[in-house]
Amino acid sequence: MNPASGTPPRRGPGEMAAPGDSAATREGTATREGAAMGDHGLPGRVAALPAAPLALRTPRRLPLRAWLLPALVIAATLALWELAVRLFALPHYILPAPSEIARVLIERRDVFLRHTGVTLAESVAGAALGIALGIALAMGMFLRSWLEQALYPLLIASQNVPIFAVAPLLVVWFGYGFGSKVAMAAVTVFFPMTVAVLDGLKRTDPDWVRLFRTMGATRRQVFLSLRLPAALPALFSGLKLSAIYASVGAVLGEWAGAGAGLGYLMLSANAQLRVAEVFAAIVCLTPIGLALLGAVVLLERWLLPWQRISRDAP
Amino acid sequence: MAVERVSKRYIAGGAPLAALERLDLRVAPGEFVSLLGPSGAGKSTLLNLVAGLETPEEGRVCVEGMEVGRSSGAPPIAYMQQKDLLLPWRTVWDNVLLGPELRSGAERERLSPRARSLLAEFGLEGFAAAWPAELSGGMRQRAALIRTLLCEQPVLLLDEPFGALDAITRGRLQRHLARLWRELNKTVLLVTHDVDEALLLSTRVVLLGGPPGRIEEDLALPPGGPSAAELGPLRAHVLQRLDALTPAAP
Repeated sequence: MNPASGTPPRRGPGEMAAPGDSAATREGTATREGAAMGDHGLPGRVAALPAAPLALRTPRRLPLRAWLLPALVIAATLALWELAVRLFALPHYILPAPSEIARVLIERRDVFLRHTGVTLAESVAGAALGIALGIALAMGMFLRSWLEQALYPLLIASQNVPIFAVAPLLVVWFGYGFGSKVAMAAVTVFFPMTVAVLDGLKRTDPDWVRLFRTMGATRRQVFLSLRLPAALPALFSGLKLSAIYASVGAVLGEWAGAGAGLGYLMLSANAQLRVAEVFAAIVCLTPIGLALLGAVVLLERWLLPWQRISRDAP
Repeated sequence: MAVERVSKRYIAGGAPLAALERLDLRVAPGEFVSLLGPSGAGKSTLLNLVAGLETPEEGRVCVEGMEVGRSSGAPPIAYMQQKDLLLPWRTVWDNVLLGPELRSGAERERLSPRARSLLAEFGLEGFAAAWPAELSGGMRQRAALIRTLLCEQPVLLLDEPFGALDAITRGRLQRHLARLWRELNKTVLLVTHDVDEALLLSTRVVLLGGPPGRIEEDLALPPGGPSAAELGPLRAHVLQRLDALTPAAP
């Protein structure tokens, strides 16, 4: 009759450390507790204390394979590429060899560094703007259903407009410089961010909401103490997409008309058949996305430490 | 606590389904009442009505002299489900103090010593700073029970609180609950599928049948719980009634 009477549920490593409430376990945990908290009692918030189940806090290290395998793939690809270019004597304006690209990168490093800096600044500013707008709109649409009804179809429809088509308009409106690129990156990032946050807010477990209601929580408390933190993992999914797409948006903006940035560099190099420089610009673009993504991941680990444990948990 | 001629209907698959039909139930302060019955007999619906999570179409529900749904604010109950519903972004400590915290910072402060002693009592003192994901199912359920107790409400509504636990852990938590009930003088309404749990913990066992849910038998248990000799026949009787109430498998 009892749904769980058949097989006992799987146990976490924590339970092995302290099974039930036997006297022996109590002694064990008490000793550890004494060391961590002293006998004066708990401070107001315990979160700052060293967390309890020490066995679970073994540092996670990436297995060798996790970085070695992709590194090998990249190295093999570059070697094959180099070999093919030399073997078939491909002209540099069709496909330059990796060694050629590396040479250009090193020789003209000042130029590439400067333009990478420009695109990085555009991406960061654009991502910040798009993310802020996306979060604000998602929260607005969640809290006021008329706003969602009014804007959601428009929002979806706007995504059918090719972002290329918008870029020249943004140059007209925001000028040839920094502004139009920031706007372009923001436009690219805005939609995935809005959708991610709105989805996160809507997916709060209704049983949690009921629990809060039985505790007499106000609507404000349900939003601030429940829905918002519950939406954070979804918000971070949106942030990760934004980190990747922001630089794409910035480069598209540069293509529509610019005097600086990696997109500008690509276009002018391409026009002069300096294909190695186009590739070099692409090489410079990658770390922008990776750096932004890395920043988001670090922020997530810092703000949502419980998420890593949830993933590790049995 | 009084449930008076309460009816509740749902729309299930396009057709209205009566979950409860003019049901009456009175529970005196300090009683421990278990609700037993087949699925669909409206046990959880009844609990939700008392908790103010649903409103009846007919009749009324009063808890501690306060009509649920009419007066402002949540009824003076604390509610616990089979799902522990611990918030993964809060430590165990912040989870168990959720109820007081939602009332005010001062309440949280006031109940902190109580939280500390309950954690110790339930063998969780080493886990105050742990995340719920670091705990086993039994530990999580203990934390959920502590959270329920720290709401400091006179009435506890427990919806299969130990249903998902293994037999040993369930037995321990049942003994904990029995002792807490004796010490704290709470009124308890427990929904369970476990006949022994109902017989060992309660002062009264109410058998529900349905749908629509109605009370089939209201069984007062001897004070101090049934003796070992009484337990066997009681169990046999309840099981036989439950079997009769459960619709035959198609």
